[in-house]
Amino acid sequence: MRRENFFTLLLVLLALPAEAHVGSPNVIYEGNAGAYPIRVIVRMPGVVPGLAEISVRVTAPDVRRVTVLPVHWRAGVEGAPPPDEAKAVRGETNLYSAELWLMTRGAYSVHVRVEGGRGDGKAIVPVNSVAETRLPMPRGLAVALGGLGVLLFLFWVTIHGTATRESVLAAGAAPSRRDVWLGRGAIVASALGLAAALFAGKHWWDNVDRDHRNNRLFQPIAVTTSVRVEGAQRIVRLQVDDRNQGSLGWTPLVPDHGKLMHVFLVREPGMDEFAHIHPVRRDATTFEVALPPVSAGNYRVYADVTHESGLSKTLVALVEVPDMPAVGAVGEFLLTPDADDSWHSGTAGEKPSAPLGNGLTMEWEPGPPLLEKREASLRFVVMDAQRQPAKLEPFMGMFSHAAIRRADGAVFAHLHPGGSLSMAAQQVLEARAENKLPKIITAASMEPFCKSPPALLGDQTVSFPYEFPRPGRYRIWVQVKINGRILTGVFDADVQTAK
Amino acid sequence: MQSAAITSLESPPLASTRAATVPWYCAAVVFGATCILLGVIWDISWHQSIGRDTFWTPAHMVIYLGGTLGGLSCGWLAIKTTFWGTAEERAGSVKFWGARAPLGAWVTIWGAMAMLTSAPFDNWWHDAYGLDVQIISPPHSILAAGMYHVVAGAILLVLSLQNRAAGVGRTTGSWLLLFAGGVLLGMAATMVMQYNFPNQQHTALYYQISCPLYLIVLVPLARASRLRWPATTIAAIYIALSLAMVWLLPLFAATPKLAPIYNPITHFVPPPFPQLLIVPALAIDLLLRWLGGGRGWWRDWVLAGLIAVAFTGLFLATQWFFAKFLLSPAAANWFFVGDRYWSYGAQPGVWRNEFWQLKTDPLTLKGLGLALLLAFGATRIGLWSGKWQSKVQR
Repeated sequence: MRRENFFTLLLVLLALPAEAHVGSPNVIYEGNAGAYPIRVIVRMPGVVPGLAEISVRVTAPDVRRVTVLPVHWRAGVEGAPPPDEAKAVRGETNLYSAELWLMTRGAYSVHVRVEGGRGDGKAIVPVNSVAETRLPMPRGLAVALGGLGVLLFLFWVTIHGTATRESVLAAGAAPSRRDVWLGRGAIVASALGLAAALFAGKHWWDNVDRDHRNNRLFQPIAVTTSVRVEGAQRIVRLQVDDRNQGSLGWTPLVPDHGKLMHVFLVREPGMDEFAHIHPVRRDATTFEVALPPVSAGNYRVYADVTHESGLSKTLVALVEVPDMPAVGAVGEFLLTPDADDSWHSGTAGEKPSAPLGNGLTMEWEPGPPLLEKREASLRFVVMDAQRQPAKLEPFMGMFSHAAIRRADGAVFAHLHPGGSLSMAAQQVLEARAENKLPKIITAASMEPFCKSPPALLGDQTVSFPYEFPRPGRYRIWVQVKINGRILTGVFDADVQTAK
Repeated sequence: MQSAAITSLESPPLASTRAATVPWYCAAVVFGATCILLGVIWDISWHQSIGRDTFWTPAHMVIYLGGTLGGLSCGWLAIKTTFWGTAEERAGSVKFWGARAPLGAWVTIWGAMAMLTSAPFDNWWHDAYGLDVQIISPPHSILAAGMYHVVAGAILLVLSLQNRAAGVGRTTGSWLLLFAGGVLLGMAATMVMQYNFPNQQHTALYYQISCPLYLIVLVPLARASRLRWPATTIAAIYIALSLAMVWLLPLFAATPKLAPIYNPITHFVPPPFPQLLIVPALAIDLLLRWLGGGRGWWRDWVLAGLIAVAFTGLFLATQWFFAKFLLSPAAANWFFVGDRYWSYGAQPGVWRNEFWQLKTDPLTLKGLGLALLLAFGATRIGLWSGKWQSKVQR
């Protein structure tokens, strides 16, 4: 318990509430439900049990009905209630919305079913049901409840005074002087008694609040990081502290895009160095990876993992990276770098385009202004030296990967053209829904189940659906593969407050 | 207090024998109180059967109907008594912030106001901490206090009727008083439902909560009532109301609408079989008859000790073995519902037929001693309160 409290405190101090992604709890999925292209946004309640809001945009005609169903990973489809029909949103032609209760902590999948002229189609969207917030009481409500509380207090003590003064008097009899004084005494005594009860109630409330913060709010599993230089390599080691089980434990992992862990390194404070690397597992809780040639400095580490339940997490840590070994350093290469590892040095330019080298330029296609809590499509295209769209190659099953971070670090998200969800979680939950997978996937070996997903269609323009959770300045790293090389375009975005 | 100077106000002497029928507002408030009790039991079943909760569920509507009915009836009574009350009505009321109404009306109004206040507080609580993570929470406590005061106000209204009536024995409202007492007892038992499942009836905490709680409801009313077997009757009414819900709820279809569903129920889940309070309540009536009257400062202290020991002993003997029966296959039927009070989220397993917390909170002599001490304190307060209640005139 003490350890958990310590890590909770640490987390608060770092202002980095970690879950799957950081500070960006809503889940967005863009893909197909059968023959229907859909975009699903699941806005999480932030508490458990809580009510999630789900919106489904179907960009195809002939839709008759859209239903949504929450399925808890352990209970499965057989333990799910009847699906809810999502209602068409008034004034929209293709948008449907529904609300779903998520009752327990852990991994859920939202089954979205579209029925219509093109037949029936289904998509599964994995979500993490965890408590992330404790909402403050709105000022208006606090004032109203305070006023009612004062009224109830005065009313209550008056009842006691009146009861003592005249309730036992014969009808019509006036209270004597003694009765009046006894009544006043009752008012004082009942006021003291009620004040004591309110004090105890406040203490109770504080305890509930403390319990919520310490034991119910999602707590990350602690991870410690270090870098050692061995030969010509700088090797980052991530050690998961599984003695601290966090909120939901450290259960076996499943690979996402064929990798057990995706690590993003962002140099603080300028966000001028970036790396997307993939450690290998040394044992159940230890991961290592050779650093690419990024500059020395303090880096924020974001490590994305997906558990067998379908729950995805982002582990957050800091690491100090030393200078690169001197040129000509000799030694054994202990770790072969992953072919999909990539890195980038430099910040974003002022223009909505980023040079990628070799005459290539990544351009951010203009769109409407970015507003907090509004869905947006971030579309990018790579132009070659002749100003023609370059042909993109899939890597790790996608034509592109992106990372988004708010300047202050309060938000971090790892995106794909399919959305912000974990592809591994989606595949695990899909397989489980089709009874192709047991609830406990692996033994201690953590044998990989998920493979890289098939590359989605489209090889020139990439689009990332996202909903910025709060206003502010963000940096976006967009990665594509061209001619066998992974290239990173860097952009800055200003997100405005929605009115 | 009785020696207070009696000033002749504008009223004639109250016609204590005039009220041959129960006034409409008394009936309305007691009906409202009954709605609250049945609504709460239904609401708990709703949470266990369907799960999905909104402000507008039928069970919530019944609860708020009860509170609103009581509050509005008493509010109207206060307005009428203050502005258009007859001299007799005004003389039979108490003065409150310049207005006039019987004491019970003010208590019920407070209860209705507390119930209404708890609604937005509870709504925020759900948003802040999650939906009913614990049944007993600060906003639910305000709601419970409100519901308790609605019923307590009903009891005070009826008590004043009874106490103004001449003679001993069956009088206007005397049965209504016991009925309201049964509602209050049912409410007390329901409020601590999370501690009184049959599976918990071998823990010390169960007896430490139950004995003082039931005594503080039964003893004052038993002393204030003019009927012959008040505590026993109140316990019987509690059992009857509870059994009505135990047997009625499973007759209606219900489908869980929240995941995860580990127990695919098809009908409303009933509460567990009620506690057999009629047995220890009998001891209260007998002891009150034997030692309840007469003079002597020591009498109530002795009486409190005797009632506490007799009630706790009989309650323990009854529930200890009855709980064993309820967990056995013999109780797995529609009558005793030993196997059907499990919610849609309850995973199957032998734990359903086992006693819980036997290692962490077994009933030891020390634990029983604490229960007895609490029972004694509650009884003593109850006797004092009952004495006052038997004198309430307004």
